[in-house]
This record gives sequence, C-alpha cells and structure tokens, in this order.
Amino acid sequence: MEQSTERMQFSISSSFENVADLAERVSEVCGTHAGQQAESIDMLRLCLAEALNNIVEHAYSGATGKPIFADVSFSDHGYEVLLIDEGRPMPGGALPECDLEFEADDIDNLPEGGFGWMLIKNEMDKVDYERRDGCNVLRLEKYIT
Amino acid sequence: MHVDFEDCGGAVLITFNTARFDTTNAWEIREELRDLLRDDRDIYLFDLTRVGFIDSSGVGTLIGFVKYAGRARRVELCGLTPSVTKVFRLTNLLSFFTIHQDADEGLLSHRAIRSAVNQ
Repeated sequence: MEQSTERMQFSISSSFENVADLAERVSEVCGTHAGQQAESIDMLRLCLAEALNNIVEHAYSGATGKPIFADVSFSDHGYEVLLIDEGRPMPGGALPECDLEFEADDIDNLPEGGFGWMLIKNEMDKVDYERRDGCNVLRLEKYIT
Repeated sequence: MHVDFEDCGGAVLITFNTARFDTTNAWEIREELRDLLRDDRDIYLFDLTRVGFIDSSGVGTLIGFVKYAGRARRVELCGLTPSVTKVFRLTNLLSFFTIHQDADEGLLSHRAIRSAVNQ
C-alpha cells in the first residue's frame, strides 16, 4: 500500500508570544494526524517551544516581526517538522554539542545553558541543521514505533 | 512570589506555588531564590509538587542556584511530577540530584542524618 503523506505550512512573525502559539498549533496538528499519545505531544510542544525560542532569542537577537516558517509533514510512520528563519546562522554552522553527563560533586563545571538542545536531541529521533539560501533550516523528526 | 520558604531547622523547604517554571517566570524566580541564599543554611529542599511544566529556563535556573549555593550547601528535590521527571531525564540531571518522594521524606532524611552526626 502506498504511504500517504500530509503536509501543512505555518508562517508567523517573530515574537515570544507567537512562537508559543505556533508550538501549540503544530504539536496539536501532529497529535491529530500522526496519532501521538498526549505525553508525546506535550514533549513535542516543549521541544518546538525550545527551538523557536532559540530562533527569536539568538537567530533574531530578540527582534520581533521577522519571518519564521514551519513546514510539517506526517505519515503513518511519524512526522517531520522543518523550522526555517532568516536570522543569523548557528555558531560554527552546526548544532551545539550537548551530550553532557553531570557529576554530582563537580558543580564548578555545570553548564547553565544548553539544556534546550539536550531536550530536543534526546526527545526527537532525528535532529539536523543546515544553512540553505541564507536561511537556517532545522529539521526535527519523530518516528512512530 | 512564586515560591514559599519555610525554615525547618537547618534545612530550608522551598515550595513552588506555580504550575509552570519556564521562560515566562524563570527570571523572577531566580531573583526570589537568590535572596534566600543570603542566610546561612546547609540544605535547600525544593518541593516541585505543583509544577506540571518545566522547560530549559527552569532547569537552568535550578542549576544556577546549585552553582551559586556552592559546594558546602546541599540542594535536593522532592515531589517531581511525571513531566518534570521526564525533562530531568532528557537533560541527564536525574542522577545529579538527590530526589525524595515528598517534603516529609526529604526533611526526615536530613533529621536522621543530623541526629546521627550529633551522636
């Protein structure tokens, strides 16, 4: 049987309120179309909010009114969300390294940031980033097992 | 105030009143917590029973508190809801903190340790 894929696109202007709303809408759509459990949807909403907040805060340096696109496709096997912005590229042109283990007695070396990327990388099945035509393209994939 | 403080004999119980600990209130909570560190206490027990949602800002605020408190003071947690537990697991912090079931258990364990030390 041929696999059916559906696709939806969202366009917003950058602000912390708008990205919270976008995270809500996209996670709801993925829940409805890809048959995800409520707990997975909550985690997707959190990951999207983390990624989108990063776009507003870092790619756009907090500027409002800049374009952000979300391209969502789902099939029986899961979903894929592309987040696209026209802001500054990721430092070093790549996702931050964040495979950290914390030692309970090593408080001096504890990071105070980077937890958002850890959440995203550990919750999603696949995460990649590329710079394409002057845009940041972040791809998040989750498979249904 | 997003958090309540209660002095429990050497330990401070910090009870969160808010259902969210995230980018919308993390900065205010950070300020409330920093005031707390002016007094000298050994143990800080965070009761997160009412917190149904935490994000990287909340996690970062807690870790900032641990660093600011320093090596001589202990920071422990209790009352983790399932979604908070999941976020701590995904950020590799579950094994970093001592986690108690609830505030009673957390405070009890410290009373036991203190009485053992004083014997």
